[in-house]
Amino acid sequence: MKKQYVVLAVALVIGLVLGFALLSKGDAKALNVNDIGADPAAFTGTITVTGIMAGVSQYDKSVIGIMDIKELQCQSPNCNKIYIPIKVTGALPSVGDEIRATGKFEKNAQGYLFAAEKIKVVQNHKIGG
Amino acid sequence: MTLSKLVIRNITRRRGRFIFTLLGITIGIASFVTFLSMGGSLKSEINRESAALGANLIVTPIGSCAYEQVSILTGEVLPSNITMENVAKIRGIKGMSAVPVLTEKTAITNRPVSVNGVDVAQMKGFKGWEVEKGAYFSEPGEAAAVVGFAAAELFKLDTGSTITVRGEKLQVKGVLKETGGRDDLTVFIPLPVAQRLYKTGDVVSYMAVKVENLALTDSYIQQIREATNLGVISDKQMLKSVLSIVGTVNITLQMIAAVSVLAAAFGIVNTMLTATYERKREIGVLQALGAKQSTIFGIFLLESGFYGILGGAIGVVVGLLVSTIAAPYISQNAFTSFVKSSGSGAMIDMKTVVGSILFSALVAIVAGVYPAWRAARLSPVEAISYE
Repeated sequence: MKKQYVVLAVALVIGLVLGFALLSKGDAKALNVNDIGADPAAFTGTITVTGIMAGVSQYDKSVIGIMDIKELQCQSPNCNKIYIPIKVTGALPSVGDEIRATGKFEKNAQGYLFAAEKIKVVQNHKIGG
Repeated sequence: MTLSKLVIRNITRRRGRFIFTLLGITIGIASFVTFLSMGGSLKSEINRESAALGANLIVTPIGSCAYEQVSILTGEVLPSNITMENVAKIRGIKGMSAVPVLTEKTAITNRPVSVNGVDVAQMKGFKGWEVEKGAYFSEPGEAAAVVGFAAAELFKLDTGSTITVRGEKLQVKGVLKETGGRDDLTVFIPLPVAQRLYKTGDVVSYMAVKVENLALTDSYIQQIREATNLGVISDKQMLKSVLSIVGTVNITLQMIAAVSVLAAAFGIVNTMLTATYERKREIGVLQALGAKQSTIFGIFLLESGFYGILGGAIGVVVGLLVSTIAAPYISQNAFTSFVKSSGSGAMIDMKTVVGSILFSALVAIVAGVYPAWRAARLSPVEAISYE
């Protein structure tokens, strides 16, 4: 009887580890801002983008701009900051929040806008005070 | 009964305790090996990419930081503000050949791929590229693409295939032979085409420079700075700067791993001390049979050393497996993206394997000294009268 419990416990641990690995694999597919910023039209269908919330549009308060995570480390004035505009439905993330946005690019008069269907805040990086 | 049999029997007598103590040292060594092997892989990738760049000097926009220097090696998009006027000035300096590069990105089947706008004729000679399939560009402004060997395989591209860059369809004209560097994963298009498609205007991201006389490198750097007011670094400086940052990250990670090994060492101390108390009678019997203090000390030390060697060996295997599996998922930062591109996360180095097992054994032996000393200094009367 005892052995059965041990086997059950081991199976549970293995299951949890595998589950975590599979979930992590899903997260790893998120695209960085610098990967897509140069040619957003090349990305079709629903994708997940990860980046840092950098600010809110002055013209549309439901549009935020996100920059690449790497830009947090670059301190020179020459930083290559590309911002991707994201249309958010619901609560806006805070400046400095590392987010994962799932949605698709939509073309408009100004260029491309990422219409987010889902936004997940991963952590806050405390930028901009 | 031989000493080794006695040691193994004693250790495995309490299976649960044996497994959990072993797990402690195994996890500690596994994390140590994971960080060590991934760090080693990262360094070798950086060295390889730097060599594949094939340049003695790199001209970057003024004020570029080390992270942007890393981006040159990883194929990331760089700020593009070196004007073609500056390119012409640098090309005018005698004793060197300089090629401009515009770094951009696109996607093929939703997977990001680096696009480099290059001076097609000059770059072929500079890098010594050879064509594996199809043909190379025939004109400097030809609206076509030549792809790296690995990119062709990854995206199933062949001559005649089309790729869409910034909404324009470009035909793949040829596939380059494998270079072993970042070029293998890159799509190359003529510089004027790249500037037009990405609407960058008359600018490039960086220039790769080959000098004729390496002894005059400092003089060339001075000449470029005077002519253009741009940033210039030598390949060695860039390598040093990138490796120093990577080294700092590695040391921090290894320190974290060392803490887990230290915690495991205290686990061994605890287990061995418990064993000392539990086996007082056995120690007394051994003493009554004529065993010296040094023999008893040796038995307990061997037991803790056994934990170290076994835990170390399992930890090395687990660590190498973890680093191989984890590598493809660590791509959120410019440094670790090297590991992603390498194809294999773990660098199986015999020094790492042997060194880690020896380190584990040493930690376990040191952890076993106090319990072994406690066991050895028991008086025969105290030991044999223990119930």
